[in-house]
Amino acid sequence: MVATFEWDEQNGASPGSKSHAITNGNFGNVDDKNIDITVEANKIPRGENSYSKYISGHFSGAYTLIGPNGKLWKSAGSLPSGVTLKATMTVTYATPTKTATGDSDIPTVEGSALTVQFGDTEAQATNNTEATVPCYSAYYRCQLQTTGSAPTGAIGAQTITLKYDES
Amino acid sequence: MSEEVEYPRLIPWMARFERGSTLSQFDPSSGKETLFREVLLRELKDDLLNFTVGNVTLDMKEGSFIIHENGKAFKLIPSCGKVKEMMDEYGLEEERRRSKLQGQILKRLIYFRRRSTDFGADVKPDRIVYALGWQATVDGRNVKHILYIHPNGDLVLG
Repeated sequence: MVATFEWDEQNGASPGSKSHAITNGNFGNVDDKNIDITVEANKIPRGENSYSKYISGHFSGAYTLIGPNGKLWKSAGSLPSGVTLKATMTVTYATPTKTATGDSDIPTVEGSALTVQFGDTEAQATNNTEATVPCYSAYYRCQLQTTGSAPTGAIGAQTITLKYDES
Repeated sequence: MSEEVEYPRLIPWMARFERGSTLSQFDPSSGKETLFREVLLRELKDDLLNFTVGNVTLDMKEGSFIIHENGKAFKLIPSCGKVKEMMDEYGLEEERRRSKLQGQILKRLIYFRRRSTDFGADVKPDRIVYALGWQATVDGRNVKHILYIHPNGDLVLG
């Protein structure tokens, strides 16, 4: 079998709590996983930021090694004017807030993708390869930032791709 | 290659060693999986003859790839020229003479799956490309040949 993979998300006051196998990475005016963007209270006011999100890759099942060559980037979807998606890989979880993370725009081509490392836990994900079962990628910290000129409504579909070697 | 191809999740491997023993990713009778690390462990003490992924067999003695297709077998030698020219190019003949491994150069097996998985909206099924090859240190230089096996049948020598 190939390794079993799922996306996890950490939420709440540090050290937070983890939810496995999240179904979407929607951004919102709330610190939560699987955000329903049709709920009025979850919508991000124009000119404000979303709560930052901490998402990780979770590997289990049968494998010899996860990694190397871990990469993460935004592979599809365009953002409207006044909206930017910021991202980085980090081993440090902090309570999600709406304060700007200070991260750069997420790469949109594989050639400049964020480097993804792996470890027993997200906090220990500093290795190019990891043999422990299960193991995790570092946190993909991301945040949607808007300006006053951002359009009303959902931003449209965005696709994030994680690429890695496994054996 | 089209991104719309439906990728099978798994192309199993099989290793053949000296004295006729084999190791399959899935036991033919029980279906139990053997991890690739078992090949690496046995590679050190047993002589690995070849390693097969799908329709491609890597000959560990020669370093060549044998592609089985429609009942025929094609041999792909990782060189743009003749075998001897390739050996000369990489200094393999000289290394072979120096080698104490009965004229063979110590090659290390390379095998991995390169997996891409999406998140968010409009996600595509996972894409998995299989990589099969060898690496050797020849005259202090790193020589590596990898054949990428796409489940839609494409083969790319890297």
